[in-house]
Formats: sequence, C-alpha cells, structure tokens
Amino acid sequence: MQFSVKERDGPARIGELIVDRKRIVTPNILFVDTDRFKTPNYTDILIINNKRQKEKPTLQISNYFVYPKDIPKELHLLSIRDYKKDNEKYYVIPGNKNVIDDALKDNPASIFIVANALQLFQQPRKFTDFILELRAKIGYEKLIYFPSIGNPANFALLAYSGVDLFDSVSAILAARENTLLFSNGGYNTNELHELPCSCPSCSKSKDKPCNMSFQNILNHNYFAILDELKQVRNAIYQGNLRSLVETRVKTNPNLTAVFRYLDANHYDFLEKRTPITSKSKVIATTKESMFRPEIRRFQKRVINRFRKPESAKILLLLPCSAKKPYSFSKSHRLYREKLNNSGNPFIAHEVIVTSPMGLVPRELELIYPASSYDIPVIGVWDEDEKKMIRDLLVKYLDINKYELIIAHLPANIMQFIEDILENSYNTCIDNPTSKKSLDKLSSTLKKKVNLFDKIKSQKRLREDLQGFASYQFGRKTAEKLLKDCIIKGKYPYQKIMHNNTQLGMIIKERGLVSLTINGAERVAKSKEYWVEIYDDFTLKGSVFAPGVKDADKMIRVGDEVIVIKNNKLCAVGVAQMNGDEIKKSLHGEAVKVRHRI
Amino acid sequence: MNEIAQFCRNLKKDFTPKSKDAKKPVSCWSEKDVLDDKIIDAFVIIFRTKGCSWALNSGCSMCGYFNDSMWENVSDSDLLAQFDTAMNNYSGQNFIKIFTSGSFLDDKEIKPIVRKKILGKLVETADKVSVESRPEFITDEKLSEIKDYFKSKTFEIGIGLESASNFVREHCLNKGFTFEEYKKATKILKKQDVKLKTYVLIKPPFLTEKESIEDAINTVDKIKTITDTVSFNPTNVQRNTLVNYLWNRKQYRPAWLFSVVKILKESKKTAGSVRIKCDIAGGGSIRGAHNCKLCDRRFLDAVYEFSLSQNINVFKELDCNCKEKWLDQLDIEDLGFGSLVNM
Repeated sequence: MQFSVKERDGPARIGELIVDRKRIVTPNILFVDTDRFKTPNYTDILIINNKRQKEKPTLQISNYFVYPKDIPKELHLLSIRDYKKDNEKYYVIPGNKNVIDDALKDNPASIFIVANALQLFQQPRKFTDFILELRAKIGYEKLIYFPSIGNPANFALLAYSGVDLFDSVSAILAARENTLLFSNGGYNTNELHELPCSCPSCSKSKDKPCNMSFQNILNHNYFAILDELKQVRNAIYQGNLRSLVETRVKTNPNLTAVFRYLDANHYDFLEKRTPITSKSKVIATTKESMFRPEIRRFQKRVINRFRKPESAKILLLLPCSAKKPYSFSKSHRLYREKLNNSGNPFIAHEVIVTSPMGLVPRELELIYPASSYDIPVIGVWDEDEKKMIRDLLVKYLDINKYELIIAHLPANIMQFIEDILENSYNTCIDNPTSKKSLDKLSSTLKKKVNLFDKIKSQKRLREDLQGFASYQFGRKTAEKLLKDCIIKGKYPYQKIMHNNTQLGMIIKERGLVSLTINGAERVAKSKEYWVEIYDDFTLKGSVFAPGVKDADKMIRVGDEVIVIKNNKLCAVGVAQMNGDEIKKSLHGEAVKVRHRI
Repeated sequence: MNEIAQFCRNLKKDFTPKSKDAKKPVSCWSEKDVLDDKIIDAFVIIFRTKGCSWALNSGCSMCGYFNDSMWENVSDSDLLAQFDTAMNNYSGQNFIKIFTSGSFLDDKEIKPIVRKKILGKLVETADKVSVESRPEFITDEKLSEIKDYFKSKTFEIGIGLESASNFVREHCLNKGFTFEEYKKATKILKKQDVKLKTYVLIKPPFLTEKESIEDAINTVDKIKTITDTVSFNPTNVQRNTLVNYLWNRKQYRPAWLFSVVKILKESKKTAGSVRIKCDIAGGGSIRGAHNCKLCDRRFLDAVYEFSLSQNINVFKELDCNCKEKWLDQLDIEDLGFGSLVNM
C-alpha cells in the first residue's frame, strides 16, 4: 500500500493510494460489501469483513480488539500492547487522544481507522482535538479513515479536518430509517411531497416518496455520497474547500460547532496547511468566513511583517470596491486620479478599510486573499466586523506613524473608527464617489500633501515593493532583496532591477514576487524560505521530498522558496508542500523549480 | 488484568448502598418454575448480606447486585431476622431459591451456622433448594455437610460462569476465575450429587452483537455435558458498573431480543437434554435486552414460556420490522469499529 499527496487545501488533500496494484484517488468512500449489502458496480474501493476474493481494491478487516474510547488509558494500553503492530495496511486506533502516542509507536500501518468515530464526532471539542493531534502525529503521508459517520452533509468538514477515507455505512443506516441523504441533510421519505432528486434511483421511482423501497433509498444514498465526494474533491483541486465547508456546516449545529471550535482553537494547525495563494475567490458570506486562516494570516502579516512606506506622511483611508484588485475598479480610479493630481501623491499612503480583510495597504492589494474576495455589502456593519477593524486599526496606527490622516470613508465606517483617528480630516460627505465627496477629497489632498517635501516616484515605488516583499518574505529579507534597486514595469507587473539585472517580478495572477536566480541569491543570504537538499542529490527538474535534508518551517504551499545545496544556492521555485511536510515526507514533489544554477 | 479490576473498583467508590436496614431482606416473592418436569410455584428470597467477596474486591464489569448489599458486616441475628421476615410470606412452595447478591457458600457472607439454620428450616418443607456461589467457595466439606441433612432432597448451586472463553471473562468481565476453576468446582458438585445451574451471560461489554451470540452458543457447547441447567442472563445495565459507564457514553447496548431467541433456539438444538432457561432482567427497557418498543412484549412472553416449557415452537411466529436492523447490525457492526453499537 503506497500513498502520495497530490494537492493540498488546508488540512484536506487529494492523494493517490495504491491498493492491490490499483490506483485510488482520495478522499474516497470505502463501500461496505457484505452478505446483506452488495456494493454497486461504480465504486472504487471496498471494505469487507470476511475472506472473499474481490476484483476491486479492497480493505479486508479481520479480528481486532479495541476498547471503547472512554475506557481508562491503562486498559487501552493493554489492548494496544496485545494488538500486534504487524499490519502494514491498517490499524484500528481508539478515538482517545491520550493513547495516540502509544498506539503510533513503531506502527507501520498506512491507514489509521478511528474507533468509536460516531461517539467521538458527537463531542465537537474532543473530535477536533483528537483528529488534529492524530494528523500532527502521523504526519502527512498516512491516511485517516473515519468510519460510519461520513455523509453528504459532513464530508466537506471531515475532509477539511484531514480525513482521507469515509465509508457507505451512513447511507445504509439512513436508508433503514427511510431517509434520503442530501448535502444539506437527510429527509424522511414519509415527509416529502415529491422527490427532490433525479438520480438514477429516484428518477426510476414513479411512486410517492413514502412508498420508496429500502433498496431504492439506499441506491439514492449511494449516489448522494458519491456526488458529494466528487464535490469535495473538486473543491480541493480548486483550492476552495473552505467555502464548501462554510456552506455545508450551516445545516447542522453539531457540524458548525466542530467548525467553530476548529477555527477558534487550531488556527496554527490550519494556517500551516493553508496555501499562500489560490486560484479561487474567498466568498465571505458567513460568520465563519471572518476566521478563514488566510484572512487571519493576512491580518497578522499586515501588523507583524508589513511596515508603511518610509516616505509616506499622510494616511489616506479608503473604502473597498466590489472589483478586485481595488485599483482596477472605477471608484478607486477616481480616488487615485484625485491623488495623482494633488501635486505630491507619493506623500500619501492608501490603506483600504474593509471586511473581512480589515486593513489592506494599497501595495498589498494584489496579494491573496485581498486580491480576490467578495462579501455582501449592505452598508451596515455588524459588531464582529467593527471590533475586528477597530482592533487592527489601533494596532496598525501604533506601529505605523503618520503625520496626519485623511479619511475618505462613508459615515457607516467613520462612526465606529472616528475616535481612533488622531489628527484626521474627513473628506467623504455622502457617498465616497459623489462629486461633492470627490471634490472635498481633491481639495483636502491638495492642501495637505503640499505641506510636505515632494517625494519622488521611484523612491515610493521601491518602498511599496519593499512593503510587498516584507509581507511575502519578512522585513529582513525584503530589505536585502530591495537594496539599491529600482522598480520598472507597468503596474501590476513590476520588476525589481539592480543595475540592469532583474531580481524578481510581481506576477498579478500569483500575487507574489517571483524571483530570478539573482534575486534568489539575495534571499539566500538571510536564511529564510529555504529548502536544503542533500549534497549528493542531483537537481534535474523539481525537488522531490526524499532529496530534502531540511526546510524552513515558515514555508507554505505556493510560497517562493530558494533551494540550497552544500550551503550554496542551486535553484528557486514554488513550494508544493509546507516546510514541515517538505522536511518529513518521503514522496512527492516538494518544489517546482523555475530557475536552476 | 489488574487494570480492568482497578476500573471496576473505582466505579464503586462513590456509591452508597440502596438500603441501610440489615433486618429486611432485599426482596422475596413467588414465581413460576419447573420441578420434576412440572410447572410449579417457587419461592424466592434475596438476602441482604455484607456483599459479594469479589465485588468487595473489584467486581464483575456488568454486575450491580452489590448495590443491594450492606458493605459492612451483617450480624447473624439480622440475617435470621431477614429470613423470618421472608418466611412470613412463604406459603409452602416446594421449590425455594435463595440469592444473596453474592455467594451463599461464602462463610464471610453467611456464617456456616446461619447457613445451616436456614437450609435446615427450608428442607423441612421444600423438595428443592437452590443457591448461588462462586466456585472458590464450593468445597467437599461444605457440600457433604449440607447433603447430610438434605438426604434425598434436591440441592442446586448456580455458578455464574458467564462465558467459557477465558478471554471474555478476563478482558471483558473481570470475572476473577477461569473456566478450569469452574470445571473443578463442578466435579465436586457431581461427586456430592448436587445439581448445577450455570449462568451464561448474553452480551458482555466490548463484544459485538454477533460475537456475543457466538460466545453464548459456544459456551453452551462447552458446558452441555457438565451442567444440568443453563440459565441465560442477558446483561441489563446496572448502576455503578462498567457496563453502565459505557452505556451512558453510547458505547454499549444490551442484547437484542432477537439475539436472545437465536441463542435459546441454538442452545436447545445443541444441548437438548440440558434445561435451558432465560430470565431477562429489565427486558424491553432501554437498560435491558430489547428490540423495538412494538415487539418487545411478545418476545419477552415467548422467552418466559420457553423457559418453562422448553418448547422452541413458541418462537415460531415471532417477527417484527425491526429484524432488518438487527440483521444489519450482525452484518456490519464490526465494520463500524465501535460506532455501530446502537443501530
């Protein structure tokens, strides 16, 4: 049994599992195949409890003895001692956090089957703490099978918790209760006026829903779990599983509880596994969206890594626009026009006040998720949003000092931040894009920007890019990268040039600086975002995990990283795993190399 | 297995005995039983003693009868007072069954002199007296003394073997004796011509429904040549026990009545000459063996009837829609890895 991870999206991943010499994509559903339940022919992998030969890949379970999860640790340790760790396929692990270490010791198993999954899942805290600890301890290259409870409503959340394998048991149990499963929950056929489904099983059924046979309901449920499984896999491929989870958990308080507990207590675990870039948009339509790891990471980096451009003396606060990045919108084009015509535009630093991002300095607007998010706007801010923005603004202004502030923000924002702003001028009269407001913005800017010495464009461009690079690499590395450089190229495709040598370039689609070898040389000096490969590893194409000796823990999927060999730079590219996974894994592509020496 | 013993002991830490009145028996009543192939009335007395020696040490994982015990010494005069109280309700039944929630032959629970007074009195009127004991208290000396005054009357001892599997008794039940020790005790009974009733547990904790059926049937197969009677006890969830602890956490379900019936039918087939009976404490409730609410009564009645008549035809007409769920559980419970305890 061999397993390798192909795609990552938070703790969820697309993997490839070789069973009985056949290839299975995970997450997947193990279909129960027993005397009473014959698996349908469209399934990928089976789970059985007797010794029948199967043509399909099969996980055959034979006798195991595991105490129920809440039995004292001492008893678990006894059964763990007696349960020989000689099965390289699977191991049934008690759903009890306190025994994970003992169960994993010298354990060669590929698949960890969680015992008492149903009881555990009813305790959101215990479930979350357990499953995350199990994942942290078994690493990235083993699978978690969470039996019996996986259904269309919770697959997304389970996958987002790091579960790789589900089964068809809930389809059977639901069918026995005359319940049709859907991604928004289960519906009892006795309570349905018509069948809300056109799967092959339901479309055959001409009867009233209440007359549906067990077998037809079961067949529907089999289709339903497979449908949702594919939705989940597609979402992982697209990098937007989180959005799917946010919609799915809405229908069930227990799922929402698990999800909120996960966000509230395991940010580090989630953040570490959340890619730094994404092809997808953040759709922030739920309360939980505010706590998305990429959003909190953005907020933290704005405070901890980012610093305002040195030469900027005026803070210009702006509202967000529906179109992203903001400067491509009509409204922001208008604001910028006023700024550019003010006579000393580079003295002002634009910062966008927005939910759920908080504060987005103009120079970071290309960075995910600031570059691509959408929220419902009704002109009323809820208390959580207000608090989040206030907290960030207080912290931000504490670190980044301006001489004065021009706030071009509508009243519904001003009313909850006005008291924080010192020495500020409000230029928004009614709505920010009205002629009256824009005129006031323009006249105020003209008056204020010329109180200061004129700042040259090139100086600010360089500072802005340093701010961008600080967000990406940290301040120390950004300073090294930008030293004595000039910025060329049309926004957003700006190039970092030293003399006539290009060091790097912002790629809008990626929202990060991509480095050249020369740029990488500079980053290499600061020992950050590095992957060190073994001295005898010959780099041809990508860097593969087995060739890696060590890697920076800060690295996230999608990060720009440099590759070091024998203390010398040898390549630069894009991380396909986080630093921890790069270091620990024995399989898979770790860095997609762009330039090589 | 000190660990399971320790756990069973810990679960008893905070309990207080149900009653503090050592002069009153736990209970006494009259019920139907069989004597010489005839259905007759039997008189039952449950004494309130100090408690089962094993329960006082750690106790079996499913047994909560210690809740009825005093957990302190009960004087001889109190025991005799209990006996007098019980005998006030005695109406001359030929068959008398005595329980102590422990071992009647344990000298620490019932002193020899009290034991002799009680048995001596009963044997005056009854043809058969039945008591219970753990095997370690069954000795040649005790039995020959009792047989001395029993003469031709029938003396029966019930032993709670629960399962012939040492694994089950050790890892699931904390029973505290082996199958071999049970067999040793039964040899003494045979020698002294004392009848043997063996209690077999249905649904020990930690086994699946299917495993527990197999365990019960297998146990009957192993003891069918040793015992005169098999009395099946489906586990009911009693307070302050390991089973109760699991049940509260949705990690234990008492047996299905379908399973009980299946076990009774199989047992009667494999051990035709042995009396097979089954007393379902708490039957039909969520703490006892149950199916669905609709069919429990019919099943309980049939089991009761079978216990008296030994006729498996009483099970013929039994069926219910919930059977599918039971069959599902037998079929896939092991693939739930503990999740499918309650299906």
